[in-house]
Amino acid sequence: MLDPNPHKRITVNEILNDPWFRKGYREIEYPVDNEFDFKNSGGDMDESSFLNAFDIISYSSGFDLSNLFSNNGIRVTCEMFISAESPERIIEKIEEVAKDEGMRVTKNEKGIRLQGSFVMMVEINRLTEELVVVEVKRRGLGRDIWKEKFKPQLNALIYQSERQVRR
Amino acid sequence: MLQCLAGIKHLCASLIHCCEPGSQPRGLEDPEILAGVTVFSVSEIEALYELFKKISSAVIDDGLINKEEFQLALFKTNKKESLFADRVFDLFDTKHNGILGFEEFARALSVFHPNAPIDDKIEFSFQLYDLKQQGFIERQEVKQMVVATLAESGMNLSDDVIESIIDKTFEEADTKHDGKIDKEEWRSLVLRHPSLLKNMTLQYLKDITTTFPSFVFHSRVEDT
Repeated sequence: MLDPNPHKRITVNEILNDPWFRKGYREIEYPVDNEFDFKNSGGDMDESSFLNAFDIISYSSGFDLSNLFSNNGIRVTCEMFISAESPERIIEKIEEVAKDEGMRVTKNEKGIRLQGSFVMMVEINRLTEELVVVEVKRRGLGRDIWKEKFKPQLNALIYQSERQVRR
Repeated sequence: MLQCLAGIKHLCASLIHCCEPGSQPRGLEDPEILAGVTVFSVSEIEALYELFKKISSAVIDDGLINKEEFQLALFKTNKKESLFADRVFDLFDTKHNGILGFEEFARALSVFHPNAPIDDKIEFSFQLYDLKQQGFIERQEVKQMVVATLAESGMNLSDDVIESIIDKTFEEADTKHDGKIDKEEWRSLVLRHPSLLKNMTLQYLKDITTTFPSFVFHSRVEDT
């Protein structure tokens, strides 16, 4: 570790994997703040609890001022997609990948939260009888895991609309 | 001779300003006044000022936030045009001069504080969605915003689905059946669906004194 030559010096990854370091090591999970709390689910999925037009509008990142406060390191990134799959199926898929990655999983009927070296929260809300809106929030490192492991699985669930919107 | 006197006068003015006891960093006049008219405490105002300085110096260091600096702060890029960010900026800009001074910034953000009265949040959000500022929210405005949001987030919905969602929304909201949502109707809708106001509360404002601690060096608040 004290080698002055950066090319010969041990890397952080190597340290993390070294048995001496790992003895008694407990991985600290990325902290969860209230941004990643489960919101109280409103009960049954009846028509009045479908998302309305203003719910959709409030998803817009331009209306979300919380990014005014974040430094680059702790930004929450948010992605959304529409799916024709059931919430259960979507949560199942995500749980599969999460378990593969060794992440801690907490879930309820509307969403799932994953904790590991980053924290990720998925919330599903019903839009119409056929469609749901899936919101994925992430904080911490883990963009690669998201891109390589989670995204491909979820891409299969995205609803493809046939017709374009008339303005 | 006259010029000489003017020069001395100017020099004296600067010196006096310099020697003012406990003089504030340039731009932040009496934080107590702002604390009095907003939900913020004096320490929170000072911390907010640190945030303001950070945002307002990003492009032009003039102590004011212009539209570009606002976009930069919100999206981390000034390339992103957003119907909504424009709307928010316009609402913050109560003086309508295209730039945000600290007072406008603090007063507007006060509405987003968790402790701000819900009526203020309802009022602000109504004005936000009332794109044409006619005192009511029209169906066309709603469609415009829905389409913009979907496009922004890469979500695809057919026109039929969008129309039917808006239909259902107006059915519920437009109790007077006049094709528009007025303030009263908005208020009832929001009280039935509190999640519609979720963007109107920024939890971060409660912890702002810990996120921006450098204010301690300039603070006028006594150590108790």
